[in-house]
Amino acid sequence: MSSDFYGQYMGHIRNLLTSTLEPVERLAAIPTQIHKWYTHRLQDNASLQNQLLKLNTENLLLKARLQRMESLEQELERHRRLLGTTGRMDNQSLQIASVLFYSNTPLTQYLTINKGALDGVNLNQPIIDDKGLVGQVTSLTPTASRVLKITDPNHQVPIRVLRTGQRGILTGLGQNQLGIDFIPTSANLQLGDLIVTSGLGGIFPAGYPVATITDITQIDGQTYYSIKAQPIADLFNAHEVLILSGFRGQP
Amino acid sequence: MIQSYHDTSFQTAKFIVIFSYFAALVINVFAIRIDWLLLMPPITLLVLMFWVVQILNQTHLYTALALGLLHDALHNTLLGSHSLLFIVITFIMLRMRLRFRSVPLWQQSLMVGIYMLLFQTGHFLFYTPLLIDNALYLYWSMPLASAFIWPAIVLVLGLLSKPSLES
Repeated sequence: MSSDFYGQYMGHIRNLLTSTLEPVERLAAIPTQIHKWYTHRLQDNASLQNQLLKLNTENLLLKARLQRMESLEQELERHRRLLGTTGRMDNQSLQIASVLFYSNTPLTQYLTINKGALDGVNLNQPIIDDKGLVGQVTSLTPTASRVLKITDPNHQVPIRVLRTGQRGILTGLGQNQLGIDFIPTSANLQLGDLIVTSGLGGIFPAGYPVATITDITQIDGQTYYSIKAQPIADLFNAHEVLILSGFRGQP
Repeated sequence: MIQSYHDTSFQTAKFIVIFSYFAALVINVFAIRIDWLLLMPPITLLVLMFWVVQILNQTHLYTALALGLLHDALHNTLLGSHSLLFIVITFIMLRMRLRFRSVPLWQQSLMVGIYMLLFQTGHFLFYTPLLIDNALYLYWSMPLASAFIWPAIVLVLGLLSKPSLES
């Protein structure tokens, strides 16, 4: 217990235990998979066609936005060169993974995904979904990885408020809730402000949406706000997630 | 005396013992996905308690250690913390097992409820989980749920281990 708490020397033993549990997790996921399969079978053709149409439209809109983003990236790179800064554009790569299993208890909140060390996944790699940041890889087995969700009480992310640039630390509170620490009472904050990753620390790339502010409380005599936030990513229903790599601080 | 208990050894019932731990682990793994199943007790510990009472020629402390480590990996908690809790409950059961198996089933359920309350108190002090809204009631209802589940475990495992004793 001491070596696990102080030194993180027990990582290999934990990985071994996680590998042992992997077939059990896959077995425990079978009832849910059967339920999903059955629900999918019940969907009629009309609803599937509607869904396809909706996805095609969404795809078209996203392609249009991507074109604009590529031109903006090039423009930003050109401006950086003109300014002579040493910054460079990140060349991130993505890997799609399916969610095999998840935990939803007050003690821990994690996902198990179907990509592991053999697929080139590394520890601490950030995971996102189509809406925002999901978490980071904390444990690896050859064929699967465990992702600690941002709502886990042991997880923290360096963030900034998109509107003002104010930096802080986002902490998981368990049960789909988040808290934001170290934002002084002099800061300009509003309910609904979007929180994005700040990129500090080198684990998470900058600019990914993480949460929105849902509650701001100022406690007398305290120099920092007590802030609650709601995650943007679909932490409980996401079937597929993306593993980010190739940015500064990541292999 | 409860008819579900028979003097047996690990060798005669090893497949049922291993299978029961595996099945209990699958149930526990399944339960951590669902909010309201916070009231689900660690079934592996209940099964371990059953085998402690059933198989008298072993202490089962190594089994408690191994199952606790698996629970630590499952819940992402400090390695050895669940093991410690499992070993404490197993040790209490070891001290009481002869008296325990001689009392009626309803009384056993009550005792199991008390043991699990002890477990849950240790769990709460060790991990201080954040319990919001219903989670608080579900979390502290676990010992009661254990008391209700215990007769089923005794009957099912008692029935399953009986043929292996006779073979």
